[in-house]
Amino acid sequence: MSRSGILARWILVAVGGTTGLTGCADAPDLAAASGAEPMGRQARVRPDYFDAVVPPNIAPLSFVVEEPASRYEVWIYADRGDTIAIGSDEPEITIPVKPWHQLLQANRGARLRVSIHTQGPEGRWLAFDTSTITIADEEIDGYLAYRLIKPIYNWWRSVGIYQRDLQDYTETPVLRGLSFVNPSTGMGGCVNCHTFSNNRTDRMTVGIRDPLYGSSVLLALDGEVTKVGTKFGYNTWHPSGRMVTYSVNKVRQFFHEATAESRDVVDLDSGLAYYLLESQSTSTNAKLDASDRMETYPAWSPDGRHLYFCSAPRRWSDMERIPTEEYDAIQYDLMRISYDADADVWGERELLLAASRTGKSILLPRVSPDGRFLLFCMCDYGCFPIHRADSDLYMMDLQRAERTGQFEYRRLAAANSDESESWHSWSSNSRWIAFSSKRGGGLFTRTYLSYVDEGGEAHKPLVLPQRDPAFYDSFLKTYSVPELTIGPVATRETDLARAVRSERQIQVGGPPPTRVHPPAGESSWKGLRE
Amino acid sequence: MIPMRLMAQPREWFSSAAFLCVGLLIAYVVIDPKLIYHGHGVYLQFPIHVPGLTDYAEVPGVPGQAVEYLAARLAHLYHPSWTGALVIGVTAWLLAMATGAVLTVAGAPGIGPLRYLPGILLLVQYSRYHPALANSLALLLSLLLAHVYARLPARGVGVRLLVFLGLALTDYAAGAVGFAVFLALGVTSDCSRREYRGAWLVALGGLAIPWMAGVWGFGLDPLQAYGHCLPAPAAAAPSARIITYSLFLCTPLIALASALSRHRRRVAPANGFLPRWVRAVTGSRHGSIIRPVLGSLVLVGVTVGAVLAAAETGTRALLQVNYCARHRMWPALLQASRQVPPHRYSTYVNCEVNRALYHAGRLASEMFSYPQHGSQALLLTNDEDVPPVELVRRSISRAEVRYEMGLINQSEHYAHEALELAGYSPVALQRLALANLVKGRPRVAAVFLQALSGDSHYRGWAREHLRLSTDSRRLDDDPEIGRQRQLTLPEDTVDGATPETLFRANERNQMAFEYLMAFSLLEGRHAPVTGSLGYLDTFDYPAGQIPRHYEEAVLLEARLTGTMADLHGRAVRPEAIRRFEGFLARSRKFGTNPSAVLNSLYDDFGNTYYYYYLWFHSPPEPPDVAGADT
Repeated sequence: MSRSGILARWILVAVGGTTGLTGCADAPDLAAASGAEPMGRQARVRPDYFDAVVPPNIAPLSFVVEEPASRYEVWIYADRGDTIAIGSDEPEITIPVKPWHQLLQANRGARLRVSIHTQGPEGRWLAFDTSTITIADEEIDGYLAYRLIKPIYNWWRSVGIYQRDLQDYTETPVLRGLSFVNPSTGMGGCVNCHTFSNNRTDRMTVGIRDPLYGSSVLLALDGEVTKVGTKFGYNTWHPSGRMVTYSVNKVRQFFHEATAESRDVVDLDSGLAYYLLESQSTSTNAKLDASDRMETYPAWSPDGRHLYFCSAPRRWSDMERIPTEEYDAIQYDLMRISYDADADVWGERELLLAASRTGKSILLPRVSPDGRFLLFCMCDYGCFPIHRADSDLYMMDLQRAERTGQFEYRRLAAANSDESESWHSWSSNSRWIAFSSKRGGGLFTRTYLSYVDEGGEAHKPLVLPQRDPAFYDSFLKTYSVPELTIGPVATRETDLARAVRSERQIQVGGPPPTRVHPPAGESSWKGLRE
Repeated sequence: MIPMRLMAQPREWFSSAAFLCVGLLIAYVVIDPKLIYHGHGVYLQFPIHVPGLTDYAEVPGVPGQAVEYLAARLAHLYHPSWTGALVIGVTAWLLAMATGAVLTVAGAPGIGPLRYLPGILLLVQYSRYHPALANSLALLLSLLLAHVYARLPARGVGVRLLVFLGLALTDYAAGAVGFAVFLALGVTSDCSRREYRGAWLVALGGLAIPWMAGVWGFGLDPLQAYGHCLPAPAAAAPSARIITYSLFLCTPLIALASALSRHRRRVAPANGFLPRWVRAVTGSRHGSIIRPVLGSLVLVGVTVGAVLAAAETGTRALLQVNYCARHRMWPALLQASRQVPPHRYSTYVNCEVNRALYHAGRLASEMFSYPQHGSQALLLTNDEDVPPVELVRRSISRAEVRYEMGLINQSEHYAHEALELAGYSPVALQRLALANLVKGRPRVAAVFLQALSGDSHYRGWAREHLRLSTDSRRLDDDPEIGRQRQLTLPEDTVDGATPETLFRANERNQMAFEYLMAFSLLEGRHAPVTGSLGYLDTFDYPAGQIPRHYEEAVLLEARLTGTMADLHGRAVRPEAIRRFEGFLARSRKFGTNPSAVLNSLYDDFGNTYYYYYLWFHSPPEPPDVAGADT
């Protein structure tokens, strides 16, 4: 037995001996594994959680060991707490929930070590290098709301918004499209654009697109659901909870014939508007909806004084031609506009970062709840980052920018991949982000969680853990628009569905928000972004 | 067990066994369940039926979900016809047995062969390819629960009511659509015991159940809560409605008739309430063995007769076309297409026929031997207002024909559509896996393959391709993948690629070439065809010959323009010239009356391009082919 093997074994036995092995039903045979031959490398596992920074309140990160063997022994341990020892004849390593949480809580801010030994069919044991996982001190918000949808093109049957308790694996539906089935087709309605106010679920909007029930927005306020008879595009709650600002988009889809991702999208026109809850009216103005430009992706700063959004010049006059000739030349700038909530007065538009400077289209700005950072994504062109493999996440330090007047940004190298990254959201403590990524193939969007340190650097992300570590191998749906929330959505699905089916709705007053305001009942794929 | 009790008389074994046998036989021979399975109807009806593949949680809880779930599982057995026949045959038999049992106990003894009516209706329903399993299982559950209630000892109204409400709740939550039957039988049962107060209470309590369970429990609107108690017709066709409602109504109606009969006579008849002629057919309880045998034969005859009379052969032919297309059985597909009635011969069938003709090497010579719906049928480029199940078939068809031609992204597009619309479609999963292997995205392909490997019917194929997806060298060396990769477009476009785009990119793409030629002919433009004869040398057409329809285009063009196309060393066959001259001579007789010309020439020339050309351009103004003097 090599020296390192003896050392590893000694450490393991010492840890196990001093702290006591967690009572697993199928505990590893330390003695049998003690003669293991060191491999000199880490074991390959999927999902790859090693070297990631993980929340102290995350569900167990079960994994599959991608090393051929007839027996697998895994020890998970740290400086404090009981070692979790797992033995299995299968490569799927399922970590028990309670000991996992005890171990994480006891080692906040410290490192978790994972030792893996395998036994080949001939009985020889192999010891892989110990891997580490860093446990952050700061928790992530307890829940994640997202939409599950197959990679779709024009038709949909089953779309649903779900929420996950991040501390375990419990997934519950918020609203499923099959709650309001069209009896003549058997197809469910479309639900989308779930947004929350300040990471809280007591104020929520859900967009509805349905040929039968029309296009509308559900407003859930403290469990009370009302239907607003207009269509919000991308929307954001003002921190006061008294206003929802939204975009109205004329989004159209077209297709590439010889690219990996065949779907593409162009926004033929768009503008911003806002809905005031108290007066139940919508409004807009030339600052939010310039006649020669397209505005989209609104996002409020946490103090409610600035609305960030993206804007691009409209290069075409033909609003029906798909795709427009210059679809791949359109790039969005990052802008903001000040707002006085008490007086309902808008300031002047302010260009923060020009696409001409970045050479890319700037999309989906989201300000951290502490107001310090602005997270956004950029891709080569267009308005739909999820279909662009070149879409990556970027960070801007707003505090520094306010100080220096320079709105600098940097690419989040550790969080990005060769595939699309987009649809990011912040945890309420500004230390975690959840985002969509198509890494691992380029088609199926999965949710990743990444730790953001005080300097605004994102660390190696981890995919949303599942009870079955091989879950993603065969899961045919995509996770879209992941939104972190402090608590679960309290509004019952049956109440939301009943509101959809109800004919009662708020007829919004005020002028039509924009020139591209869709006719009532319009329903196309456009709301079905991933 | 209920059926055992019912069949206490040995003579009843004859009819029961005969019905089971004939049901199985009809299901296997006439219905052929694999046609339903591959026709995608089961997926739309029951999108969740492969363990571990999709999440049942995507469907909100509604009354009757448990039975639908069971039906989904059982529908998976349609894949091979023999297991599907077992499901259908046994369900029909159980319906018959349960009907007999519940009616006997509920006060309608001696109903004889009428007990088989629901089972026969089920077989009739299936012979018309209206998926009826969930409805049937729900009805079965209602009958069984009604039987339990009817056999309940009389222990006071309160106890009986309590039991009834429990059973009603179970029936509503698990089966729902048979709830009205359960309620009716419960009331009838009490009436037959002369428990009229109980009957009233049972009726009122039963009516409250959908409100309590549906509105409070499932969160439905009142209308929906009660709507779930009604059977949904298995299809939109009026016949489906009639059969569905008959299936659900027959048992309570018989029970009601029996109860009324007894009430009127104040005494239960010795041999039930049935008319004498029915009893004559069934024979007396103490008759000889011959009469039961004869009765069984009559039952078999009635069952077979009803099924054959009601069978929807057009739908069957349509499903056969679909089945053959999915299994690449080209000659059989062409044969089946002949059985499709004209009003069912859609662009979808046309698309599959053209595809079969291409793969059989007959597109260029026999295309006009089959009805043609114009160029839009080649790739199904038209959007018709069709029901979802038809949309699935069309999406699969679109995906397959495009994959074979090299339009990989379009193929992927339509396979995704099919998967979404169907809920689950192994054919779509196969297509998506292959498309992504061709596109060099093995990790994406692996997700589809892993999902497919959960399906026992496709596990072998999926695992084989999974191995391919993880071995890049094997993948690159795979002949099918390599062939498909050669056909794909080298450069991107967003303007919608066509066979012409493909052929311009790769002049060795024979399918793109033949479809481009077919498109031109179907558009009544023969110049692109006659101008492309030089490409025939690129492919393996018989030396010196020209495919028949191209030959006909050459002759027509020569007649219309006076110019003979460059045949590139090939020759027009003399018999083709003679036939064309015959066509011209015959058409001259009818002058410029297009319908007269078309009608008279159809039998002899209906399978030629020049006939199609004539049809294509008339009305309003048919070209004067016969009069063209060149």
